[in-house]
Amino acid sequence: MTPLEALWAATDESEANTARAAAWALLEFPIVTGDITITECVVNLPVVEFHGTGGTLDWPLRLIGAPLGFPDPDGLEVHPDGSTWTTDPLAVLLDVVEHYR
Amino acid sequence: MTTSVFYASDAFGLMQYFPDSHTEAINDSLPNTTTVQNVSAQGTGAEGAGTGDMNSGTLTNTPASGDLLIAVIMRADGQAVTAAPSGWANLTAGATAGSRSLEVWWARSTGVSGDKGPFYFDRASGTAAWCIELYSIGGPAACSDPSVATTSSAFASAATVTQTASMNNTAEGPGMVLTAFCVGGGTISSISGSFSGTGTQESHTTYSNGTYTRGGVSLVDLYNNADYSAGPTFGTAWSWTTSRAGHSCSIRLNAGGATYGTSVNRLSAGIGSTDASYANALCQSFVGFDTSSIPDSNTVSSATIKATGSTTAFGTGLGSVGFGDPANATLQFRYHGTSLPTNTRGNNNSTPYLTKTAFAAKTLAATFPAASTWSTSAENTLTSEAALPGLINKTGTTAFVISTDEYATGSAQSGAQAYAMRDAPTYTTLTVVHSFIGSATVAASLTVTPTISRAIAYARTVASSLAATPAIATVLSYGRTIASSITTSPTITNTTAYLRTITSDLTVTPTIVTARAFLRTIAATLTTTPTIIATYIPFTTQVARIIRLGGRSTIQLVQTVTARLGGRSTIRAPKE
Repeated sequence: MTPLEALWAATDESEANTARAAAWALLEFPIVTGDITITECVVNLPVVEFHGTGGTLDWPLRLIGAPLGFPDPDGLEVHPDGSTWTTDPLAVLLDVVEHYR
Repeated sequence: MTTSVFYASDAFGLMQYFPDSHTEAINDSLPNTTTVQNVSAQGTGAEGAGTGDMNSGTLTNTPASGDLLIAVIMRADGQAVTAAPSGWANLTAGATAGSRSLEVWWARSTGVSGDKGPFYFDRASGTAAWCIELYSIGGPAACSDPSVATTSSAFASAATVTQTASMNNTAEGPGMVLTAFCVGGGTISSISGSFSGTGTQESHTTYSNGTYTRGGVSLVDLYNNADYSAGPTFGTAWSWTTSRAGHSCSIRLNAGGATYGTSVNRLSAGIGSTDASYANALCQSFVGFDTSSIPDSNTVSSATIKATGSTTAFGTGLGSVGFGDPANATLQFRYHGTSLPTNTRGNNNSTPYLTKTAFAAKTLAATFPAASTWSTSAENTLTSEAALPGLINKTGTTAFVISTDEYATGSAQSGAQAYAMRDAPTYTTLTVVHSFIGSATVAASLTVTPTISRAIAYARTVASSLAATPAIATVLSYGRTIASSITTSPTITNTTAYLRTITSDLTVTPTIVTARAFLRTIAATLTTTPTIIATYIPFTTQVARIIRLGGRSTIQLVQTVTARLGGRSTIRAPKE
């Protein structure tokens, strides 16, 4: 079960946060994109705080209530409503920082 | 500085439909709550064309412009209406020869006093009229023209008649259902009947003409803010049980009630649609961000809203409703407050939809100009208003309501002008840059003892607590007054050449620049040093002690004194 599926299967907030934390734990540092280097993240849900350098943003970068993945026509994770998704916290992160490179 | 990206924590979209024939809802004239005014008349008065007492009904109040007028007419002898008032149209009519008839007529009020009646529905001379139920219906359920769900048709004696009148959501928003029954034959007292319903998403009000129980009408009050995706059915299985044969029909009061999209998180804002069936759809959305993680002590320096576009806001079954040529209007996010409106799907026909006046009254937070290119597949960055950073709620939710500038101003629109946005929790973000900017904090209580750095040798006593007026013991000619209250500015009466400035608030230790010789407090313990009138020189072995008395010195021995001269001591007297 992927973190995204675990999130959907969660029956309470504690389980949901466990799934979310597991998803963010998949990230490996450093993450380098353009002139930005992300060195670490601290998970304190719903806040995931990233530390890094470079780019035009003011560090640290916090994502609050961020999704764990995206709708994906080819995704193998099936949402209860039938839609398909992919767990990809890295893509979520890069989607944000790309505006600051 | 910290950059916080908030993903939407709550969101939902609303949509109202307005047929071409009734678009004044756009102009605030349509309340969000459906209202029903009813009057019933009954009796067996004789017929006189145009004046018969059972031909007419008169409402108590003048209906509002745009209100829907419905007349349900129940008669004996299978008699049909022979002439209707001007502007009225028949929806359905059914009769059994020699027995009863049931007809439903409708009209649209223009808001004039004549629209409350009386309305005369003529019948053939000499025939009996049982009753007429006259309604004025306002609000969302009156937006659209009514349509027939089940034509007026006969049912047998002692039957339990079920009328099914599910609304056609794909064509119209849910509104209300009117079901009508008319029975006849036998004596009045032998007729009985009642409505009952098994529908799960409605309540209803029965309008039955009292003691003259020849007929009854039930208005089924619908959820007008129903979630389309839930596939609701309305007005199902409402039945009329009677001991007599009769006629029944059901009428849809199809309407522009608000409805939610397939996903409550899908957002849309604006008017119109690329789908011609929804050319008068009004879309309005609400989105909230939980911004409570921003520390209270932080200052927000900037905030930016981003939303990913789409070509379908309300998907399944509603085609491309909620999107259409966004370049015709400017998207507006307005600050709704610290919470979203209640997302209750009740049956009172009341919706959280904001009228244009209410929307315009909200503070403008961000826009996407009509002249810009709205991406229907990628992220769009809105232009923040100067007020936006100050609107961020650091203790809870920051909520916005979304529509367009033309809705806010009430401008007449031509063609579609609607923005569709993807699922808010994933694709709508609020980016806030914030930081702690410290400011000097002066303790409310000045309990510390200020230090006077230049006390030198002239000790001064300054009270340890500044709650009292410090006393300066010796002011001499340079009097200074220090206010007893530290909250006021002390007045220095004579500053002359010794100007000192004492700050109005005692947040710093005042420095006395020039103390000089004019401020002395002589400690009481500094008694004068007594004059030394004789010096005793202790004896030290082998050290000569010499006492020289020069000049006219006198040694006066006032008591019995013994002078021992040891060693090589010498007493030399002058002129000896």
